[in-house]
Amino acid sequence: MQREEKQLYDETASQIADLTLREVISPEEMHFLLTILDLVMIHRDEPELLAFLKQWMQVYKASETDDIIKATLLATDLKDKEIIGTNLNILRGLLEDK
Amino acid sequence: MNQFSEQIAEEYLYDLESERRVLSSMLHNEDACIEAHDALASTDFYSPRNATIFALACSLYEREIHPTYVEIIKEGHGLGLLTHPREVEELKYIAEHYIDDENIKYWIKKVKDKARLRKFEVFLKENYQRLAEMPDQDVEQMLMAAEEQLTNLTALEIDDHVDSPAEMAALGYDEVERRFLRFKEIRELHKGVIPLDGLSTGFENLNHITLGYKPGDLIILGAQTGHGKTAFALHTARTVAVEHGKNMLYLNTEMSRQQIALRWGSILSGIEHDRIRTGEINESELSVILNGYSSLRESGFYSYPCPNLTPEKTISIARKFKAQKNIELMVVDYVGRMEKVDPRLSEWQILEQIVKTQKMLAQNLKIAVMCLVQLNPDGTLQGAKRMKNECDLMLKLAPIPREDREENEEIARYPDANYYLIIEKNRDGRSGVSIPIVFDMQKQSMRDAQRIDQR
Repeated sequence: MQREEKQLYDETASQIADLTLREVISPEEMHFLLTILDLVMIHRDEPELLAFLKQWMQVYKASETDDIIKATLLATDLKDKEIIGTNLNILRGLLEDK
Repeated sequence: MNQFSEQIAEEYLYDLESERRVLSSMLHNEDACIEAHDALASTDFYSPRNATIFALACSLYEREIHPTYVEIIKEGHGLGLLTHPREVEELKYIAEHYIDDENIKYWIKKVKDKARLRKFEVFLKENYQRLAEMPDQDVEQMLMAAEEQLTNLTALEIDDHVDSPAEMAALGYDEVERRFLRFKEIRELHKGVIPLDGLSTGFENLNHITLGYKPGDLIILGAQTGHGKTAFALHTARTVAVEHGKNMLYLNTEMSRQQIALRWGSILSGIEHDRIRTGEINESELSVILNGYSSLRESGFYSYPCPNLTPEKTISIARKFKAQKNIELMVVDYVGRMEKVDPRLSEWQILEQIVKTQKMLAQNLKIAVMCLVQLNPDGTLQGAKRMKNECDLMLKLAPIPREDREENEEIARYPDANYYLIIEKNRDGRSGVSIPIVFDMQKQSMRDAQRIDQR
């Protein structure tokens, strides 16, 4: 990891932890965000999931569907590729229906 | 006086920079994790926060999760150990200040030395207090007690222990009693089958003589090229990891992953290795082989093909697998193929050095280590005497000479035997014994030869 990348990684992880300790986000949200951070910066894996997250953020409006998508993502075991694949198909459908 | 003591404490009794260096290296580098996990304990850290981070990192590492900054945050928060933003800042400070100076051993030593100094400080304080509180006590007794404490402090490892006569006597009696009860149990319950002290060797006769491969044992197996070194290693692996489900590590310096995997096909199915290699098998044999591999899948066999293996690397790999898989046996196949650390040393000196390292490793990790060595064409072993000194069990594998088959009446009672498993040294029991075995080179399998009593 390059120096700037490492700085970004450390800073982002600290921010996420800090938000949790200040009770701005829940421990489940922290867990999810930290795992995504590792996926992006360390493992450089799951491009489809990351593409979905970007796509979702562009149309995010805190609607009921958004809440369902968020709850599904938080409940997804990000270590299990099969589950990620299955859930992504469901989530893409939800996003199209928005 | 107080100011002076505090100054001493700051300068000599702890070194937070070294503690942070060790922790940040663990967060960034797996080798650093292995070294620190093996050499340090949480109590070696002066800062309670650093001790907690170390314990978290070790706990993650033992579960095969690399303790990155993110993983430490997750784990620490989950366990309620990170509760304040200031604590995250401290952790971030450690993670950010990683310098890849490849000097982890130096920083570990500094942390360890400071921990020992703190123990020395406690020793001084305690004895000073004792002196102040009881000025009239027996001087001889007081000095003796202090000397014993100091001896324990100067010993390199905390668990170094000098046995008193009473402790030695108690230990001896316990051991004899345990064996007496076991012998009674064998007669009454197991109908003569001996329970082992260690891992099964895969040969009844060898089990009977050695009582198995025990933690701390170094076993050397010598054979000439093409005379079953790898077959013996995998026969041991089959017994230990497949049949008994114990975890073990197999280091191979000359075979590829595919070659090792194919050998297992033959060993577990009983189908000739050549036919498996060329694919010359029918469908029912394929299903037998598949069945064999399913037992390997459930086993405790971990394989690490490593063409450029060095003694240092074996230490690092063994520590990793001990921490993460709790292995009970490591097999090095074979030591002659290890890289020369110092090209000026002759072959036997290198072998001696390797064997010494492996013995130390077996004792420190409390596992059995088996080293395979190559015999000269005349059946001798270079540096054999020195190797024999280091090991607990020295075995040789050799074909039964034709004269023995024709003239030796005892061997004639084993009509299917074709190889001897010779016990050259056995620290715990009989040696100079040649056990007749059957080595099926085609199927890569080994077993005890069957004795047929003459009428």
